[in-house]
Amino acid sequence: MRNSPGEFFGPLISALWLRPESALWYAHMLHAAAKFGVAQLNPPNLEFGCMDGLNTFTLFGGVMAPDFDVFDEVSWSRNSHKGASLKDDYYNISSGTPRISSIIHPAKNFFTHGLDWKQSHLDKATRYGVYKHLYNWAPGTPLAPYATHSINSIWAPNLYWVNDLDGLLAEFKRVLSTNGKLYTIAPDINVLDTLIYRFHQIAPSNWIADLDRGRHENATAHAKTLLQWEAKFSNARFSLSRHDKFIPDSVGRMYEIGLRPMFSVFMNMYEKLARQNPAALHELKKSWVETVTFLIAPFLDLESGLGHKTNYLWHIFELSPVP
Amino acid sequence: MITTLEMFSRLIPALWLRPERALWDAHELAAVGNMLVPRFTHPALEYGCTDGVNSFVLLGGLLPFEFDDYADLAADAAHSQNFTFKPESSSPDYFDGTLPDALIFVEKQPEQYFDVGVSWRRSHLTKARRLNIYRELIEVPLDQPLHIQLGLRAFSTIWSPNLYWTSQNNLSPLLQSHASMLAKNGKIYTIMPDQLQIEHQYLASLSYLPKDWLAFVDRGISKNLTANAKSFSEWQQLFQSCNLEITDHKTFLPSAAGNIYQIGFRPMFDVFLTMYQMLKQSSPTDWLDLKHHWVEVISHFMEPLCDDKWQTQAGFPKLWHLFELAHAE
Repeated sequence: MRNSPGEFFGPLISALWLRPESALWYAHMLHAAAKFGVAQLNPPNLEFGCMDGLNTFTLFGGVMAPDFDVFDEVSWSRNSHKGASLKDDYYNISSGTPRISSIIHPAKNFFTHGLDWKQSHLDKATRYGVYKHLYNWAPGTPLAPYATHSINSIWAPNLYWVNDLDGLLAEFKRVLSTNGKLYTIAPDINVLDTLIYRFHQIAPSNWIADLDRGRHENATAHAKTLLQWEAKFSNARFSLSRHDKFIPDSVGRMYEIGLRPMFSVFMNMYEKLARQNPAALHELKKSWVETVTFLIAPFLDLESGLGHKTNYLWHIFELSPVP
Repeated sequence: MITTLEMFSRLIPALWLRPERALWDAHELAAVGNMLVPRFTHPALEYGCTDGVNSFVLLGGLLPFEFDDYADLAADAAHSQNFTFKPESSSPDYFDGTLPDALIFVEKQPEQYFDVGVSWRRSHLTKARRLNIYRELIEVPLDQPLHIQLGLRAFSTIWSPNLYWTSQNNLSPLLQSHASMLAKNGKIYTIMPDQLQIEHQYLASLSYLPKDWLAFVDRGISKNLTANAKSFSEWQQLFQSCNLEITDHKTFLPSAAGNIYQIGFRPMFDVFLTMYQMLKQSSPTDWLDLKHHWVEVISHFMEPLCDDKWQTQAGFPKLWHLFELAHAE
């Protein structure tokens, strides 16, 4: 089982090579989840906010072919770098084509249920073979398919995207068995000190907005201290049975910009080369991944100064329902 | 009055894969363009002319959009061996490759010219020759005083944009040599780092990272930027000791732009050059379309960094000096 951020980064950067900042962030997140046992949760279990399933496939030890990536299904335009908000999701598109042939080693585990609020994500998640059942949930509605006390474990890596958090926690409480566990992640108040958006009053505001792409809205709405999160969970009748922090400060700062502003240009390059010279694209990918891996490696090594001299920006929680 | 933004827009098509350099050079050339160009007199020398692109732009020239710094590298098969990823020995001068016979069809030739341009790299002189802004180009030894070779009191204008690269020991002799070459009422224009440049070394804040990582990302830039960093009064004293006095002065390069220069896209340059070669070979039309898109997006994100106003209001100090120097009375 993968048990360091570096071990998760390898498969992630191969799939996400044009977006190394995403691979870096997810590598730390999956490492934190693995430490909390999310790769072996008690069934029947649910992933709330499963997105395209790549992260969970990676968490469960799956291996995709070296030529696989997520960029053959991206919704971009030449103006994608301007005026974007949280609603603009590059990945909200699916060809509907299963790509099982890209899987070299299947995942070693699966979730009983996967849930997301975008059909395109669910279409993609189907391909990885890590969910028995997938459900398209309408935000703000009850978790209708799951009977009361029918789920033993929930992994919710995207809780912080939900507006009605109290309503959702009540639903989690309803569907979880009395001895069940909820695992989730959430931003600490420290995250606000690392956002590019903190410069919006001193720098040209449209420039900062285009670098931010609306991401500060989630952080601003949900960032809390540990005590505030504990109070939030306590009000929802969950007790905190385990807690840790992840995402070193320098990783968070790197994630704030990374190569994100250039994504539409890189997609243009990707599609041009894929059309004209696919072999060259694969060669380029090798060189790109090698260089980026060298550049990112120190930011994956928690045993070095990175791990010892930093604030961590995110919480991971194990929560137990209180009767 | 020429703006940093205008200089950036002229430079970025030539430097598109290295936008951090276009940003740095735009700040420099805007400062110099507003001081040196209106006062330009002949005979004029550029000491350290590199490939001539900056001076071509400084003097008002316009290069075609298709032109860039990378055509020589991409076409130079021997040199392209440097494009592979070698962190342990990755310190080639990428721009030492050249295509001697390449022609450049410029959009607009500057009306001004330098009488003499000197450099210590033959490849740079070969490239500079194509731009037709130097009456004479001379290869000189690095860091050697030149007044014997180029003549006493021979130049009315000396533009010396790369003097700061020299070692601390050589700076005084080189300044004295510049003074010797300067005509009685002539002016030297040069740029030098302020001591604030030492405090604004972004990589210094990452000193806990592995040494090979820092060396690969830095490529010796920090040393170049800081080796000769001095306060205004220290510069004044040094110039006085070389019988030169400051007749005009301006600071440039806000620290935010300076920090971005220290990393930028530099670590990805090998990869981007590989992409450049692949696209250009596969389809020159696709290559040009991608270049247009790249320049449009990178300009959108870099242009605010060309604006001194908000950066000054935000309290970002300027890290570099531009000096106009004359013989001390």
